[in-house]
Amino acid sequence: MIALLLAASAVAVPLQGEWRAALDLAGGTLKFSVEVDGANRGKICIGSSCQEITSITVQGDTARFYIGDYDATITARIHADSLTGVYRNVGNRGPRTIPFRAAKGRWPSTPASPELIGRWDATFYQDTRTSPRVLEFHNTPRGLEGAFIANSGDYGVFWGTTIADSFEIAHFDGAFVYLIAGRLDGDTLRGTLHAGLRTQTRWTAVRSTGRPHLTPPTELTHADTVHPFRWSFPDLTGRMVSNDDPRFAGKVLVIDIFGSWCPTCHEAAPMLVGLYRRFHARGVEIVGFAYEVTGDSGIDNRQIRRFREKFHVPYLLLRAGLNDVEATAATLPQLSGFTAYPTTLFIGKDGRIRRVHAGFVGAATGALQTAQVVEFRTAVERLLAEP
Amino acid sequence: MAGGTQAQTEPAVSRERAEFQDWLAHSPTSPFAVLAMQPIGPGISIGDGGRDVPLTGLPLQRVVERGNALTLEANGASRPLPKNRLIAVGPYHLFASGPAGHTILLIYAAAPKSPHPSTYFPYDPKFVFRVHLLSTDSNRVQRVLGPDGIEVDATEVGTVSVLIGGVESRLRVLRIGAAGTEESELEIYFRDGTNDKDTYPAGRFVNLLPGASGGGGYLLDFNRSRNPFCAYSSAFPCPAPWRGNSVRAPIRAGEKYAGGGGSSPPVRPS
Repeated sequence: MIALLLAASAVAVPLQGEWRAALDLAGGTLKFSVEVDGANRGKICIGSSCQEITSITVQGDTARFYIGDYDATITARIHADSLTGVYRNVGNRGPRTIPFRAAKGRWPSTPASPELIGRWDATFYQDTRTSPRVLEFHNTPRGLEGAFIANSGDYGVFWGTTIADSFEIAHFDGAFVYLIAGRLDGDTLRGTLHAGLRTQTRWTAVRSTGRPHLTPPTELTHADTVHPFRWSFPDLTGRMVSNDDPRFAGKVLVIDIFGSWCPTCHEAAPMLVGLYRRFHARGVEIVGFAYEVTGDSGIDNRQIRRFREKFHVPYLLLRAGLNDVEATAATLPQLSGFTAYPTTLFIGKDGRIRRVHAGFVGAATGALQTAQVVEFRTAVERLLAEP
Repeated sequence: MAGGTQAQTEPAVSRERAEFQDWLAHSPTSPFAVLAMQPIGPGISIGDGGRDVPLTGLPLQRVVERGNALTLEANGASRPLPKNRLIAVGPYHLFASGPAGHTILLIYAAAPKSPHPSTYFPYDPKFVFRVHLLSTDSNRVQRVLGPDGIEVDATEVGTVSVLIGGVESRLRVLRIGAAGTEESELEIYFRDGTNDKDTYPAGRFVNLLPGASGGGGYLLDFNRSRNPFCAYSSAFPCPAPWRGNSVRAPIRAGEKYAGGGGSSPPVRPS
């Protein structure tokens, strides 16, 4: 242990600073940044969006970056001014490894031309099937950023570079490995999505007309709207709470079906906290149904408490079950077609579900997120206006 | 920093093999750590005196699937058992996966036991092919056993042709997706002239790797051929060979069969 600490302090200086990092996929290079401070605390950054690296250890000339949320590691040999190694996370079918390299410094910031900026309706082609997606691009001080949105929500912030009429934007968080490459061809974007080491999906996109291209989030999951919504789950002390609890009688209720492990749920939490602060005094309650990872109440409650503290959640959080879509659906038999974390339920004063919003679009989507905030507030106002 | 794409070369294959050997030897989900693989069906009993899977040092438990949710029940208490996640239960690990109604439970020891290192043919560049996928219009979805013996939905996406031993062979390609992501693998499960001699009798798996140029071509590198998990442990069922995917000539590349596993896998076309 002493030897390890000595080794760590001996190489702390070379690791410290900003690294332009890359994963080498079969068909392209996924660029991101790694930032390490003097105490060997680090973060992975995609443009302006960063997440903490759980731990960085150094043994001899090898650095190990551990991303605890996904049990993933980047192991790299330290050279004079570069790192080479592999990103790895482990499944039950074998190791999933992707070559990793990094050099000291910062990726250049390359803002995109106005022809690319804005929202595009994309069609993805795999085999003979097609599926809709939305791409959104905007310039930031860190360069080109974007969003990649599917029916169930977006995949977080994408960041990248442009050269002439071509661009690449990428997202890496320790689990998701996505690189979107494309070019402007007249009034059409054409490109390839690289998912993981070797999945490639061709796509084309045209300027969004403003008409809905994706299935609206209110049409993905359906609910029994005839009967009162019945539920009963333990709070973080183990006490059962149900829809019959007097605190909900005659009130508008918003239920957030979420998980502390879910990045999109983290993006949604501040908005829901804001919604609570705005409407609670007028008779609105919010309850979070947490679907967690282990099924062990001690571990899962600890993760839920951490989530509550991180976002200063003032409303009730309940431990509802496991974060498997099928298992979640089994605990909520009055919903059909449950597909996405988070899913938000809007419930009237009579206890019946009025609206189900599947998924959540995060800050990367810009105007879409703004519209979503308005939609949530409007939904609550309408329920409050009901007799 | 030099630019570059994934090296599709002999050093890359060596690195992949080293990673895989490390995983086989040390991972808690190594096939060499598996003690049993059991369909859950209406419910199974595991542990001391368990009728389905007896396990010493673990109080008798029952694994039950109700309404798409799995639970582990013992002495009147129950706890949920999440799918697709390694869960520690006493001195063992459990891993449940597969579609509802067809859930499979894998039971692992605390660590791999007596892992056999894999052996490989020397890298041979003549078994590396640049191929084009001849797509099929049907895209039929079928249930097949994956390399780990677990049933998965696979989409028939087309065929690739290779010239081996002077004979052109057309091999079927299935796309097997990973749940919850945009990732998938283009898999070929094939038999060849080395089966029953140097390689596993039931056949081997190999992936199509997309070309670095992004021009739609693929790399089919038989040096990356690998055994189904039933070659490592008889706990795993063997995938039946895929109809038509037989190459008469020997493909002396990729993983060899080191013995063990299922000794007599079924060899009949699916």
